[in-house]
Amino acid sequence: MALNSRKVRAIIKREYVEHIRRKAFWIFTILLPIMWIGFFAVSILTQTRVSGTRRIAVIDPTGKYFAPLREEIAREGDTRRFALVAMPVPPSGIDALRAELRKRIAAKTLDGYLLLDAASIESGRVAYRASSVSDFTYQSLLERHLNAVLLRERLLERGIPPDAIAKLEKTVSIDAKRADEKETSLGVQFVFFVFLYATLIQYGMYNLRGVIEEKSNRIVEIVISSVRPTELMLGKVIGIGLVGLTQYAIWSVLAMNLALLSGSGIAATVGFGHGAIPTVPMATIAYFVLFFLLGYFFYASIYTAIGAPFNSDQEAQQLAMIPTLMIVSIWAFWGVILNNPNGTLATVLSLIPPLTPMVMFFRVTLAPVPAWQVAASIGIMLVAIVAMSWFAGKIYRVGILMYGKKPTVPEIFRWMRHSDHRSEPAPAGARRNV
Amino acid sequence: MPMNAIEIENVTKRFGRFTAVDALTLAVPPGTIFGLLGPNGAGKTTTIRMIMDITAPDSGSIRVLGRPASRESLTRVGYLPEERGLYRRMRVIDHLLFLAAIKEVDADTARRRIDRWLDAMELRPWLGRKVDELSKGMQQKIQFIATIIHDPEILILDEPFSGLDPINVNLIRNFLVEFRGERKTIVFSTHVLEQAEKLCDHICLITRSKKVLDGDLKELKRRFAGNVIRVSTDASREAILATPGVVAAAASDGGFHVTLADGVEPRAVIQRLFERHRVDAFSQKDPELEEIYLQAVRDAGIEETRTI
Repeated sequence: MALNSRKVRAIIKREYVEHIRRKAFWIFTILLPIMWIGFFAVSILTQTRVSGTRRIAVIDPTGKYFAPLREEIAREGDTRRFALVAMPVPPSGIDALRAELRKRIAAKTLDGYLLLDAASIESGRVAYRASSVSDFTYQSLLERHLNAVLLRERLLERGIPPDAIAKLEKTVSIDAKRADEKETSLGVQFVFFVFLYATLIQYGMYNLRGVIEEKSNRIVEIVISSVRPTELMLGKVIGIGLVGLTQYAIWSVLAMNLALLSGSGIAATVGFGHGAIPTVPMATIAYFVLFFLLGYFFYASIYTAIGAPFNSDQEAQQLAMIPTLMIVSIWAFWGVILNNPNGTLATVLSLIPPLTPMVMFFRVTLAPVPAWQVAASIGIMLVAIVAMSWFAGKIYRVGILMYGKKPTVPEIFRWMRHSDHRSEPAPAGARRNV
Repeated sequence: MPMNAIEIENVTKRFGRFTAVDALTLAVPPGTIFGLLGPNGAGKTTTIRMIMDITAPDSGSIRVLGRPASRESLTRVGYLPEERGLYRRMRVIDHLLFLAAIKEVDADTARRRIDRWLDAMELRPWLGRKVDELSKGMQQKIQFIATIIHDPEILILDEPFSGLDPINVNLIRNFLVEFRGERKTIVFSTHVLEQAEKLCDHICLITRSKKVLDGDLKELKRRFAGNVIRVSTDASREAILATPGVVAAAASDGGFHVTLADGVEPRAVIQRLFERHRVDAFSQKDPELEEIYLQAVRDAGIEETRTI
């Protein structure tokens, strides 16, 4: 069955032009990057900037730790974060003091207290009671400062001279890069990964809605009298896919301009320092387009098949959850892939069709993946696309001409068997007589 | 003898256990308006969908312009489906250009024809508007333009008048008559017999998936007429019944409906009545299509309680 390319082109053109003309396309195109920039700016701001001072009472019965801890905090430049108050133990005892401090925390005149008695320090567990225990950034900072003090104290007790201690304290940080020395930034890979994930769902749903729109508008039979269902389906899928690529092209241009702006100070004001906006390697973009297309054609087929039998978005909603969940399920494995991109689980997952586009894309951006595995994933996806579109085509050919009540899943499968010899269901009028 | 525009040979179509079209044979002569008539669910839409190669018959064959029905032989056919609509967010001009493009009409020709038809339909001011902004009647006119944008030889219209207001029914009907003048063939289905009566040269009556009658409408009327004449006379009912060739007579507002035996010429009966009685008026009424339908259904032995 030869397809008429002129007709398919006409369908592609219509899909493309009509989508690009919609306001929703431009809103999504502009809004998504703004949301991401906002997200990063906020997370960078909250991580690196002071957001309030914690007033902490220190119960220090031995009197050994309070002064060094305050000095340590001052040396590390954290005085804006921590305001320490020494709490001498009153005659009524520590427990009475703790009860008193608890009241002050409740009254919000204090944020927390730290109990540094000898027994606690010996046991390795120091009590910190605060209004919030999820204040992780501050807790870990406080912990670091306290440990530095304790270490220095113990070294001094063993008679190590202070200048030797200063040398011993020097630490290093790891400068992580891929083994092939390719420039990467986890932030960038992550953004690409999330874009891939979000747009697979987005453009899949465009296909679903497009199919249902043609049915509910009653245009489909007019079109079908001129083109074959296969031509219509192919044209729609390609047209919407091109809309997706256009969106990425716009984003790329925006990103390049933003990168240029990073030196001009605008970026700095939203939280990025000089050079904080990383450059994107060409290979990442190439892989991105490749795996977007492979994933898109696979999922577009599924979404198309799911839309065809139904007359409204509401009717299709339940089944539309299936491909959406397939895509969302990537988050269950995300951590494993991130920790070990070439591990057995990541490798296997990257060769299972519903997950391949996302997993393999993530892997290749994180670590050098053996070429045969990349080739295998592409091959597997191509086979999966052919199988899925064959399957979707069967449902589509029958489904788009079905009107009337919402069909059940077994009914849909029955049509598929029928469509082997092209015996589609009766029009609505005829069925009333059955 | 010119080739028939459409030939359907012994076509059967089943959906599961339900037979939608049962051993249907019919021929649509070229240059005629052909009515496919029958109640809802009789099999009209299924028949039309098979002609359009949207649904495949289980058995039998369909030829359009002498070739088996396929997307290629159907490029010279214009089709208006029963379930019809438009992309609501598209502009009128873009929409018509798109529908022309998938009929492989080049853009220049399409533009010329769209101009002409929008003028004829008085829709030119709406050219750049979105389909959504048009009234239902206007949208139906746009659908009609879409059906003929590729200047087809055959038009197949499934319930073309349903949902149209009387003015637009008239408008479309006039175009159909005009097309017949251009030697185009028009096939349309309807369950409203009055519409068919005014327009059709040929009809095919379908009920319960079976053809009950088809042929030239004038011939059919002649064939089903003649049985009953209306006479105003001073003769008694008994006297009329005594006249040779009369099988029944029924009084009806001042006159009689006289049923004649098969093969009896109405003229002969009137003449006999004249010889003995005063006859004020007589007429031979053409049967209404509805009467033909009911008679044909009775003759075919189909129990049909519904009138169309």
